[in-house]
Amino acid sequence: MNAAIVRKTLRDAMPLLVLLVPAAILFEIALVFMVSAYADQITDVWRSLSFARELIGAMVGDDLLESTTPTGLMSIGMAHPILYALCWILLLTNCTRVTVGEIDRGTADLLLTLPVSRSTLYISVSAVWLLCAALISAAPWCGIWLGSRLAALEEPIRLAPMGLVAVNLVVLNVAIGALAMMVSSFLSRRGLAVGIALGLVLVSFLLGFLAQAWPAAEGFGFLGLLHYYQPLPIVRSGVIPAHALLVLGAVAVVSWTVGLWQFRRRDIPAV
Amino acid sequence: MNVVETNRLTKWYGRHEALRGIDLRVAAGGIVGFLGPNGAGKTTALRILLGLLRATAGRATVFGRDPWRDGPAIREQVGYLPGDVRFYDHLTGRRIVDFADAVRGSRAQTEIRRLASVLELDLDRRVRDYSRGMKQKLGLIVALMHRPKLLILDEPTVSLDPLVRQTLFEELRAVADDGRTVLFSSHTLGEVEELCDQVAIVRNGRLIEQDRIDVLRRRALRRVEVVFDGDGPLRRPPKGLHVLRESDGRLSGTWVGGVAPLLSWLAENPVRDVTIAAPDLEDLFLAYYTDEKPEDAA
Repeated sequence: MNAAIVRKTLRDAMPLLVLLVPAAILFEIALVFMVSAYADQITDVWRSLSFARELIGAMVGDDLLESTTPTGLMSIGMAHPILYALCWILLLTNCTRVTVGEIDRGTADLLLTLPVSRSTLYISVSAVWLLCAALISAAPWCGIWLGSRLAALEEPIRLAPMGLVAVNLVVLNVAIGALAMMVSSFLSRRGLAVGIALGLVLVSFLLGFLAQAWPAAEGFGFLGLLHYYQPLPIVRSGVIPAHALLVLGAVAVVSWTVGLWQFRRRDIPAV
Repeated sequence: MNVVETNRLTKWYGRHEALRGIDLRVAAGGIVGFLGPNGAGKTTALRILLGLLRATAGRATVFGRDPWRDGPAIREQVGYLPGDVRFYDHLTGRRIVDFADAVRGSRAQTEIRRLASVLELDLDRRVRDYSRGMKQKLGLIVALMHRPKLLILDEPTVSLDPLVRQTLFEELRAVADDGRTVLFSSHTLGEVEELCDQVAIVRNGRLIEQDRIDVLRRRALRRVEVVFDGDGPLRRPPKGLHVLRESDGRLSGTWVGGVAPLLSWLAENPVRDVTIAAPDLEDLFLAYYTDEKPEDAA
């Protein structure tokens, strides 16, 4: 790892980090306030709209109407599309900035003719996006914690199982980041890399949703990354499924390693 | 010892062969011009030396080491200016040189100040506000600031005004006087002739000539104009004088090599006037650049 490259990469990541992490915290605080004020009305709407019930069930991994406590309801906050969008913007931006972004911009000639190996560069950049993944994944838990202190809830939100969901979210985000790093290592156009990585994540999201909502697609659900991130069962049981962490961890390690292998051996074309 | 050495260096891009078995030798010290028309393979060869590209076949060494495997160790001692220099637009020039210096171990602040002063570059402006020439100067500072043993410059004079160009040449001469080596690519003969001790000429991915400039100059054409008393020369022109036109007591031609045989022949003839021009490398290089062989050009 090279300290100067880590500092530079962190400086580049900082604007989005200071924008998106507080945004995720504020979003969760707002959700806690909504739950504290309108929990009954929200659950009534879900009961009357079966599609909404299925949609939310697909998002959180089980039927939420069987867990309408503040803790159960806040599992939505851990799997909401807005939270996903904030995570993916941060991760895809940072994971494609150096390996493919520098080549696309032509600044790779400056970076890769300095006396650092490509492995060092890849590891230094990875340290920064891993930090980003940890912070954006911890942000919703922080928001729920802050919200539960500020809002008047009928019963307190259990923060320990929410912490376990956050751990699962970290591993999910690390897997997504590693996939983006791998895609970046094969390409020379950043827009294309972002497009492919985003496409993979969106397909994974849709697959997870379809597998929950449509019995015919149930058999393919395991192919999507989001199949291994289901907050409500974790909140209920207080345990993260070990196989989910193992699968996400394996995807992360394999993708990251393939990305490193490719980045070390690839040609760096002139602009 | 050769600082740079390549043996049958070959590079394919898909089905296009960009380098076709180049054997390049660059000895320590001095300035070597890497000359060739656009698309000849100069940049590809330089990028292999820097470890940015991997050779498809053949071998390259810099300081006796493989640039692909030992890139970081080699690049400790190498400075590089790319042909199309790009920087992070949102940063100031100072942030960029400080970053490069920090990666190299933060030892170049004095040299950075000196180079910025010599090249008259304001480092406190953002790169996005720099002109193309200013970006080129910033690239030169990044390449020179750690006083590298080998300086690789890919068409460094592009976008530089004549005054800065002269300043750059003075810097490069100082580098060479210091026993360090400069390898710089160009497609302009004039600057190679002005600056370099040696030249390597590449065309269509092949190294077609590598020699000292003075040796090449000896092989270059001289334009010869002779006016005779009477109808023309009494004796046959010597071998080596390529007669282009001869009429009304006037002879025009070209001469390659030492002029002693030419002068002997002139002395044996009733010469009224003679002009022997300085060796013209332009014709020699043009011959290399086209399908003509230099001998044919004569």
